[in-house]
Amino acid sequence: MRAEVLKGHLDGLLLSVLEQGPIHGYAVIESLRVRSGGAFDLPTGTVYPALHRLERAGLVRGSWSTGAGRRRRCYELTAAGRTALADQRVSWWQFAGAVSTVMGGGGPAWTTAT
Amino acid sequence: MDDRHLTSSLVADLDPSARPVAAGYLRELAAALPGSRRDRSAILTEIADGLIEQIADTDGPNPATVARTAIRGFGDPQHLAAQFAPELTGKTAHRTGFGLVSSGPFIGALWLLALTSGPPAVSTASLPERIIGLFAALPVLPVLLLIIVPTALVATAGAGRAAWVLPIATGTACLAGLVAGVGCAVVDLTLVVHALLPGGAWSPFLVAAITISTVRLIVAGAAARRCGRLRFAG
Repeated sequence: MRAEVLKGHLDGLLLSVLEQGPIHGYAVIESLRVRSGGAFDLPTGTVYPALHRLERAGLVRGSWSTGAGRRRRCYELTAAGRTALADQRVSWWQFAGAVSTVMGGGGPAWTTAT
Repeated sequence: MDDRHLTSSLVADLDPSARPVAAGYLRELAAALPGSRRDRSAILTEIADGLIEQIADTDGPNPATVARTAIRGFGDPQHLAAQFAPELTGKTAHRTGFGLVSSGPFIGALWLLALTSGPPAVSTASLPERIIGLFAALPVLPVLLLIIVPTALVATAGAGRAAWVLPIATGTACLAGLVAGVGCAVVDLTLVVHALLPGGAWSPFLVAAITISTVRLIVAGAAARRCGRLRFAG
């Protein structure tokens, strides 16, 4: 799936991945890819600046640790990040439900309209 | 450590034929990243870690090809640097604003002591009277402080917790840092020139105030220049 398609949903996806606990940037990318069954194979360069943006917004907290013999930056959700994730989930379900209804993916209203 | 040494050391664990490919990419990224050396170094370290992971996960006929394939996943270094630019701009603004806000009260108090202590008639005056006396002697100060204090506070919102309270564009924070830095340098220059005018009484407080203000003048000027460069870099 192209990165542009995910525009607007990337923050929610990243927050969702970080919900499982602190992980480093590359693990975030891998987790996104694995959890989406390979559909979200984002350019690596898209994810790191997005993580920094979320950190600036106070939704994630970054900290340095040592792993695999080198310094790496790990990210975890803040309390504000958990709240933002909950809000984005509600917003997504409303949006996805409405799109499904209109496009015929799951709406009885579509079949009974005639 | 300069960028060349840093980028080489970050990928030192890679296969010798992959090393120059990865280091070359990181050097291009380093050259395109704005901001302080400390901020750039942190980003390069993080990207190098991801790049090494990606290289380990990539298949190819030889290590150099694997490194080139992995690098493609990171995208063009100029594009990647441009995506980091807002955060680096915000951090520079934050550091400038925070430095000015935290040093301001201390340096202000020192100047107050230096310029208003002396004859008993002056030194027994209350604090508000001393401040009014100083502002009367240098009327440009209150005007500049009215500009510096709010702009420095806005600059702190470029990053950190202040950014959560006041979510403004990093470019705006950087512009505020530029204004606050220039204003602060003008204040320090004004105070130092005023103190050096003939007729003034010297005291240890005055010597300390002149020294600290001279240092801050240089630091504030440099910070303002950094903010200006980042703000108007495009």
